[in-house]
Amino acid sequence: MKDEAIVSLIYEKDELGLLKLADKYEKLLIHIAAGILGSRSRDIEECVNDTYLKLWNHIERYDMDKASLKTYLKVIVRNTAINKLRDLSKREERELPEDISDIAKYYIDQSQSVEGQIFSKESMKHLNKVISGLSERDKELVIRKYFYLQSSKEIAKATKMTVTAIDSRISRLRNKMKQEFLKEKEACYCMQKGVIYE
Amino acid sequence: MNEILLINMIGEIEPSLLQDDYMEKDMKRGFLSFLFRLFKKTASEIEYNPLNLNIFEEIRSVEEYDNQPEVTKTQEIREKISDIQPIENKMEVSTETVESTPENNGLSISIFKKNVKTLIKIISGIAAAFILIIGIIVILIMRHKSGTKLYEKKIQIIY
Repeated sequence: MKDEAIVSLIYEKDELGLLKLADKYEKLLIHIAAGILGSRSRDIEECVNDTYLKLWNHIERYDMDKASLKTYLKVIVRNTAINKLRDLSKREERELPEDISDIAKYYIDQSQSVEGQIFSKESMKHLNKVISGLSERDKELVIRKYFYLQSSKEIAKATKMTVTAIDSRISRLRNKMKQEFLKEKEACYCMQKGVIYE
Repeated sequence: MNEILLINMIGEIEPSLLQDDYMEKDMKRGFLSFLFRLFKKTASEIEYNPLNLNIFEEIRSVEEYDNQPEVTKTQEIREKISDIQPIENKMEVSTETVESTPENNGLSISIFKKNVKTLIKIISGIAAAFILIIGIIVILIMRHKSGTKLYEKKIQIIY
């Protein structure tokens, strides 16, 4: 079934739409959630079900012209999994999954300091610009590492590079992105100042 | 750039930047590697199953014994009778030799090669059978086609 048909079924609150959606995208969603949450099947299942529920409740927010249904679902499941990961760190009595990636562990340890942070539209605009300015390979590394929270080992396997090469390249990329992000911010600030003085 | 900040911010980037198929590729690769591992596992199970090896060795030795002439058979029996007395000593020696031989340490390449060859034979046999069946089907279709053509011509002649 085509995405348009699935979306229109969900618009009409027809449960068949959800069934068709699960048929088409469930494997992908499970794969993304498992990459972030490790092998905790219950958490993964909850995460995927939450994704369906979010789409069901907020289908009117989905704009087909902006992104495909697959991309929209990917974003929802990723953010839901990240929130779940954050919840895991809050519940101290719960054991953390051992098979999650290093970056996910680091995120669990450090996330409380930036929790609930709202990013300004301008900051997001700068980041979009910085990421779109990267080469395809670099973009892949950044998205794999910071969007899908894949470990360096997994990225190395997928990109046929060594783990050390991945680590050093990502570290260099991060520095480059930081510099460009600040540059973008400064340029924007100067422009705004110019407009005010004019 | 702070990694945590980047993780949080990247969840809100433009969807056009996320129209990738990295995960789909990973899934496909995962399935292929699963198949490869399965094939490897089954191949290794065939290779190293001691039960299979023992059975094959037994069958081979029985066949060899049956094919020998009667004179050699009686000679073998005599040798065995003479070996009965020092059997305990022999046992010790034989266990020591089994442990120390280099062939028993690690992978036996000849066995591996043989099993790979048999696997290749099986696969090529299946492929040949498949080609044969397809060939027969094609021939049958061709014959049937000419038959239908003739039938059509006959109909035209009648009219």
